[in-house]
Amino acid sequence: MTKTVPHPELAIKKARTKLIIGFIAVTLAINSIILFAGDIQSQNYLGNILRPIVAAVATGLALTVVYRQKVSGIFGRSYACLAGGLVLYFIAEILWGYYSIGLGVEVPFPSLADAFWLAAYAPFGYGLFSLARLHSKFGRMKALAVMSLSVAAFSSYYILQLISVSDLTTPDAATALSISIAYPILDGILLIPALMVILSSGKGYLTSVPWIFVSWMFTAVADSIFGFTAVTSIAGDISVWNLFYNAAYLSMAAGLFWHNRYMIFDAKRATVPHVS
Amino acid sequence: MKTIKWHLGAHGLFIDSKDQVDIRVLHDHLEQIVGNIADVVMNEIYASLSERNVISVGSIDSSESIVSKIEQLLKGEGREVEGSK
Repeated sequence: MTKTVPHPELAIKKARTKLIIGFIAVTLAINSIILFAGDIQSQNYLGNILRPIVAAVATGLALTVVYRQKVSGIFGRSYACLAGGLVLYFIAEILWGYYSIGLGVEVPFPSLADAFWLAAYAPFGYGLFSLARLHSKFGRMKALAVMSLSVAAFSSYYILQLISVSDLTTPDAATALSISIAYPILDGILLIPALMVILSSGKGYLTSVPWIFVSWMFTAVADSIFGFTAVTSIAGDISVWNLFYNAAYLSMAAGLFWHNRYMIFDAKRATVPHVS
Repeated sequence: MKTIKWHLGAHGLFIDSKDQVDIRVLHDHLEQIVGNIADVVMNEIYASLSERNVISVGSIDSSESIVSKIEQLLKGEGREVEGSK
């Protein structure tokens, strides 16, 4: 009796559903640990432990992609840059954790970690724009123009709000405000390819969920909340930004897992027979 | 590319075979597999074909779809081969 193996398209569609469910379950589980930790200090303490862990998972998967795929071609270069950006983010998370848990002090803003977070925009920018050229129909100039204007309008509004609520009495207030403004501008620039890809996604069973671009949406939301709380000196009083950063790292990890599993050619899997 | 070729094979389309491949069928299958990346692959094919068909490229309307452009180039190539016989 011969055993029939499902067509790869069917198997991949099932795997995609499983990955979506897995992503939601893991995100809820990790964020629940923070949400149900009790007081705000405990929530932020756990957040500072869990964020570097999920960042390490995403970074590990990114480095695996680079190792297996190498760095040539558009995919090779784009994923190498994403990996570079994630390594910088991971270093920043470790520094942040060292301040808050290792030294037991309130993390200054700006801190050395911000230098790594800001430096990561260069490789992330290259990676996201390169991948967006592949995944979205950039020829649609009207959509691109509307998207750019919307992002610019939102960023401008956010920056104005940021300036109006800034607590300028603290030392380094001007530097803190400048860095707080830099984040939404840079996030806004990278939101454009993310939105373009998300809006034109849905086709192609191998590439249908634009995880890496979804991750950038979460990052932008997290940065907006964090920037607002940092300039108003209440960053330590709320912990909701932890949840969005975790979701961002986990959706990046989901995208990298998918790329590793289905987009990089695997001779062993390719020999599996199938029925059309 | 190897992954895409393997999935095309799973759809019954073997682009490395000696048989002729219908460019529209290839585009449809590519779109099912990799969505918008299909257009990138087709543009690569068009660019590659254009290099050896400089004269034919000039006569192709730039507003036409990438699939039509490739079809016209391939037809032009076919005529050239017949003419040289």
